[in-house]
Amino acid sequence: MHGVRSLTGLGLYVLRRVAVAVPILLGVSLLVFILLKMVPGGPVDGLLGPLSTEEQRAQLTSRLGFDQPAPVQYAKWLTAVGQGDFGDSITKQTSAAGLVWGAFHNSLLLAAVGGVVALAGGVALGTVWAHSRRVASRGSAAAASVLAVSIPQYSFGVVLIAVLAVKFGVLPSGGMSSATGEGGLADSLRHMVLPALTAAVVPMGIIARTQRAALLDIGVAGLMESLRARGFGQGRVLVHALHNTLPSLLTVAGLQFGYLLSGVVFVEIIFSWPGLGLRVFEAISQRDLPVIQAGVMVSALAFVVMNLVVDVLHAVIDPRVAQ
Amino acid sequence: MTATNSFELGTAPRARRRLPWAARVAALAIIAIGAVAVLAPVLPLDDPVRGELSERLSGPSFSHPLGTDGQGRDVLSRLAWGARPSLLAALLPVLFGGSIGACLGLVAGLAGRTVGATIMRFLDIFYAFPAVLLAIAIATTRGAGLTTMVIAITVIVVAPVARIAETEVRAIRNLDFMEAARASGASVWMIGARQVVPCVGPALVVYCTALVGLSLVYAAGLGFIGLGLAPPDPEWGTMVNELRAFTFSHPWLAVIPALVILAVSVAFNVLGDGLRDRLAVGGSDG
Repeated sequence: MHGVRSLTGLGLYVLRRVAVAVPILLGVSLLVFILLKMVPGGPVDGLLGPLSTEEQRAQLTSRLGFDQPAPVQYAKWLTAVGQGDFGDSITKQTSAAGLVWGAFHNSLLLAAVGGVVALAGGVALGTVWAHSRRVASRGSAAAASVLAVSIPQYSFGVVLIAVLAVKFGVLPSGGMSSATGEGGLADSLRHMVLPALTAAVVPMGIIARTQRAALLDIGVAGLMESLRARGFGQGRVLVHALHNTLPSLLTVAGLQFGYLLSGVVFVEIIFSWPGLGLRVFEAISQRDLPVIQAGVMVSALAFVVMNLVVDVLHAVIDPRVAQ
Repeated sequence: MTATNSFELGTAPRARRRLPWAARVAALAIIAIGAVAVLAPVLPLDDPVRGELSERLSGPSFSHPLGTDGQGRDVLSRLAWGARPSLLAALLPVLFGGSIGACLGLVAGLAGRTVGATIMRFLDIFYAFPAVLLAIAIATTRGAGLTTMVIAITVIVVAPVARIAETEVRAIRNLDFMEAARASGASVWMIGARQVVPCVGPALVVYCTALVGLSLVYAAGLGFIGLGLAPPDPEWGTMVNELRAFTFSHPWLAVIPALVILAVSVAFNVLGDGLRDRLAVGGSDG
């Protein structure tokens, strides 16, 4: 806006959004770095154990570069990270970036399925809540969405496993596929039902709330009134109203998808889903610093990119945003 | 003058408007759970820490209304005693984090562009940082315990409260009464205390009420993954995890603490919703 008025438009808008994202990522990297410096004991003790000699500790400390001043360590680490190198996992002896990247794929799969469920359920729930003619349907939709927002993922997961996996035995309780590796796609889908459902519940409730608020918004309500006055049926009126809720729906759905992407930790732990959240959780308990750093940076990156995509799509739907 | 009068007329009936029945039920439930937590030492409950191994995993009975866990400890008693750390770990972070966030948001909203933007961009970092992982990482650096839970959840509460506070302040900062206060020579501190806080405060309190539910869920989540209280002390999230081991033999057992956490979380959200609706109605007829 300042001084480059000739460059307005979508391109400049995208550039500005990217420029905002870079310092956020730098901030996240600094925060991770500082946080991990505060871990008592540190990775050297964890690796060598209590029986190690002072000499061995010093040797490993210097090999890992921990004897240099913190700002130097940070600069070196950041330079490597810029090239996609997070170092090797301390416990698994393979590249941390590779480990985290594989886990991110699994989280992406879960987030995609969970996101679709949350979006469909949320829009339906929010629409019924706002515009159903029956008081009972409105009340149930309101109750369902409050319940959905409040549900702890681990509570819901435990209940689902107790009922569907144990009592009735219809669905598997964990993992990504059967131990035998047979079954192909159908088997994978069966394993995905419970974790995706659990991950979808809270975002569904949040989307339902936003959708209801947008539908009850003055402008949209007036539009619906005038469409009804022209003799449109309820279905046609709703289609037009829903079209007008797209911007707010996009914003909230994008944000929720970003959260799903950054690893639904509790869901992945309960259902042993080998995603980003589970990987970082394991790495935290094993003091595996490179994997923690890589995991947090990847999920922050996913979140920031998701926000960027939402902002740009928002500007495409509603060009006033980019002005 | 006329405008002021009609405004006051508009507020009179609102003051008597009651909360929706659901929110009143939720408030009662919260008070009841709080009472159980406070009175746990004087209630006729079994020892929550030591159990009879001979009675392990016994179903519901007269002496153990909710049965016993894997070490023969009374589940009802553990739930009642567990309410103390669980509720504290839900309320204290909202109190501390909410206060810090509100202050940051007020300063960001009232200060100039540069200071405000700096504070908000700094908080954006916490938004991009996955909240649960942040809490887990903080909890790991400190080791299990109630203080750890409170600190870890406090950190993730600050940014959302600050964002709400800043938005609310921006919404009123150019209104006439703010201009009038500035024109009369009031200092920024004075305006903050006399004009801004009374305007923005109720909305923040309502938002924080709903946040307690989220805070409870996160705190119990830390307990669930072993970062809550050190065993054998009872805490709801820890209980879900302990009883989860018996999912396959006694499915109903693991469900009990899970449902308690859910119920209290729903109660805080319903209460928050009820308060917000009442506030929103009041705001729109002004």
